[in-house]
This record gives sequence, C-alpha cells and structure tokens, in this order.
Amino acid sequence: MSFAKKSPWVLYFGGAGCNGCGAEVMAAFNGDYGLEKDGFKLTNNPKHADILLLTGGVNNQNRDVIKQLYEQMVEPKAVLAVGDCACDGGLFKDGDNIVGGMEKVVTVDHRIPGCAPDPESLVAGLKEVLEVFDEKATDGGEGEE
Amino acid sequence: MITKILMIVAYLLIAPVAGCIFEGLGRMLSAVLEGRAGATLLQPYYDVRKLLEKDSMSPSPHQDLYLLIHMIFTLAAGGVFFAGGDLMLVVVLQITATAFAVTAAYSSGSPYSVLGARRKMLMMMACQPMIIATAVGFYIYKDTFGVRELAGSGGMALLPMAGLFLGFIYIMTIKLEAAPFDLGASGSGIHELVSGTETEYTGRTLGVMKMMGWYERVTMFGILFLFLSNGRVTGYIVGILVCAAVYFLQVIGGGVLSRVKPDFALRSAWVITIALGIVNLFVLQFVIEGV
Ligand code: SF4
Repeated sequence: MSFAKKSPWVLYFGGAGCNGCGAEVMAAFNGDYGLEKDGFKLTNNPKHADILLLTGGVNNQNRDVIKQLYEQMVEPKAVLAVGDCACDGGLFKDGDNIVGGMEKVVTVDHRIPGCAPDPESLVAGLKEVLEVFDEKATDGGEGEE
Repeated sequence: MITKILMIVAYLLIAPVAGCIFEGLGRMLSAVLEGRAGATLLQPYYDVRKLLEKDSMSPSPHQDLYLLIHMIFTLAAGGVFFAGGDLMLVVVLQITATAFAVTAAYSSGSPYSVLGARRKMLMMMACQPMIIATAVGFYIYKDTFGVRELAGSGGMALLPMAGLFLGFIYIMTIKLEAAPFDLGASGSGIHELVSGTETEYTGRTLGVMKMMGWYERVTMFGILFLFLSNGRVTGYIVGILVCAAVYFLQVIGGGVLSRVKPDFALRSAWVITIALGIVNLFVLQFVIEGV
C-alpha cells in the first residue's frame, strides 16, 4: 500500500486573478475543515511538495515561475487548479496579458470551478486530487507529463 | 559483548519508533495549545513513509555523500551511547555528524540552504561547550566517561550537577533545533528560510534526515537521562519521567515563545554555559569532590 494518501504536502501558488480564491484556500486550511487530520500540510518549498495548488490564471510574467515550481517538485506529484481563472482564465480570460488557464503550462490533474469555490468544494477537490496522486505513487512514481 | 550488540540493535530499532511517537505527541500537544484539531499521533510516521516512497533529486553530487557520512556518525554516536561506551566519544561523534550535515547543506549552493547551514554552524558553536562540560562534569563526579557505569552506579547526579542539568536542557533545545531555536531549518510557522538546511533535501533524502533527527533526539535524551539514573529502578523511572517532562516543556515553550535571533541563541548559550556549566564544574571539583 502507498502512504501517499496519508501525507499530502501542498504548495500553493496564486497566479493572475483577484486573489479571492487564495483567501478561500487559506480558509480551507485554517483548521475548521480538518485537513490536518488527513495529513494535509501547506509547505513553502516546492522540493517538499506533493500537490501543486494553483489559483488565478497564467500571464506572461508568471508562466516560467509556475513551470519552474512544477519542475522542482519530485515525482510523484499532482496539480490542482482552483477557481475559474485557473481552469480557463476565468473573468480575465480576454485580458491582453492573460495566456489562459493553468493547463497552458502544466498538466492539470483536477479542476475545481467556481468564482471563487467555497472551502467545502476545495476540501472535496483536494481529496479528489489525492486519488490521482495516490494512483501515480502506486504506479511507481511515474508522472504523466 | 552480546549485550552491547543487543543494545545497539535495540537502539537502531526502538529509537525511531520512540522519536516518531514523541514527535506525534508533541504535534498533538501544540495543536491543542493553538486550538487546532491537529494531526493524528501517527502523522510523523506517515510523513516519513511517504517521503521514503518518493523520488529524490540532489543539487550536487556531494550532498548525498555528506549526508551518508552524517547518517553513519549519528547512528554511531547513538550506538556507542546505548552500548554503554565512552560519553566523550559520543560527544565527538555527534560533533562530526553535525559538521557533515552543515557541509551537506553548504554543498548544495542554494541560498536558503547555505544560510541555514551558516546558522546551523552557529548553533553548533553555541551548544558544544556545554555538552563537553556535561561530559567532564560526569567524569569529575563519577570518575568515568563510561555510559554504562554512569547509568548503572553511584548517586543521582542531579543535585551536585544541577547547574549542568539546567544548562544542558537549554542547550539541548538548541541542539535539537526545537522551537524557538529552529533557526537552521526554520521549519514550522515562519518559514523565512523556506526550509533552511532542509531546502534541498527531497523525497527519500528528507525522509532519512527526519529519521536521523529522531535518532539524535533519543541520544540527547539519553544523556539527559544520565543525570537522573543511579542504577536503581526509582532512578530509571524518575529519569524517564523527567525526560518526558522536559520534552513536553520544550513543545510548550516552542508554542508560546517567539523565535530567537541566531545572535541571541549564541550569546545566551555561552552565558548559560559559563554561569551554570563552568561554575558547576568548579563547585563539583573543589567543593563536592574536595580536591
Ligand atoms: S476565479 Fe474568481 S475568485 Fe478566483 S481568482 Fe479568479 S476572479 Fe478571483
């Protein structure tokens, strides 16, 4: 059995958005939703992270940053896009500087739509992406890049 | 000889279990103090198991080698201690182990890691005098560096070595990088160094390093235990209770105190080493032993 599911460490990166999703992410991790009981932990270090949680969209300034963060994470790893902006560019889709959703730079494993999604759907989404992460871990840590 | 080998095997098997359980209890306690639901008791175990399942990537070809040497010396220090060997040798092995951990962090060249390494070195300079003073204190009091004799005979060293005992607790907190002295790795809460010396440890490597932390902690608490142990069951029980109490006090202290600056840690460690450690050594030599 894999222990991946028991201890997912999450790296949060806020892309080009209004930061509303970021506030919801912080709310979901504040302790009231019991994420810590399931082993979830926020980390600031991509090299320690298992799940990359992205909010906001991709613009020309952050695309390399996101790519680099993703590349610095060791296998197995999974990516979760939170909010409409991260899914497809959302509200700011037509902006000159917006490239699009997060799938423009990384392979997104699970999406949580909403503007902004509430903490409950975030918690549910985190558990979904955990399944993907666990699957990758059981398959011998092979990413599907 | 057989008992020595058995003790070493027992150390290698039991130390990570004890270290893990105590870390789990510590995390639960700090969660209660902070009013969080907190993680479960076995979370540190799950964390390490997951890390061991992950890949690892090393930023420099030397880092893994240095970490391997660190590992060998850490285990050797604990092995010598629990086999009842020479306390001074344990201290020297520990210093060497830390030196290699610092070298490993330097070798990566990554800025956070290097900054963490610099701090870890400062912390090493802060701690070692007191640890050596403690070993010397035991020698003056019981005429031996042998851990087996120190643990199994003579009176309780707590009263005649009270200063060293208190100083050792302070220094031990620094040595184990427990909050508010978590400067090198700057782990929980503040993250101003991302994760300091641990920044470049990934997956398996990080998992092994976490386990080394448990081994080291058990050895340090073993030395603390020597202050209480007098070869009788009561001494052993008191020793274990005091070790547990000190551990939980460290957890509570870590939760309520704000993180200190490296400068303060170094200075306070030296002041305490002189005020409690060296003075205690003189009292021990000239008053209690009456030489
Ligand atoms: S999805 Fe909505 S709430 Fe989230 S960052 Fe975009 S605009 Fe803000």
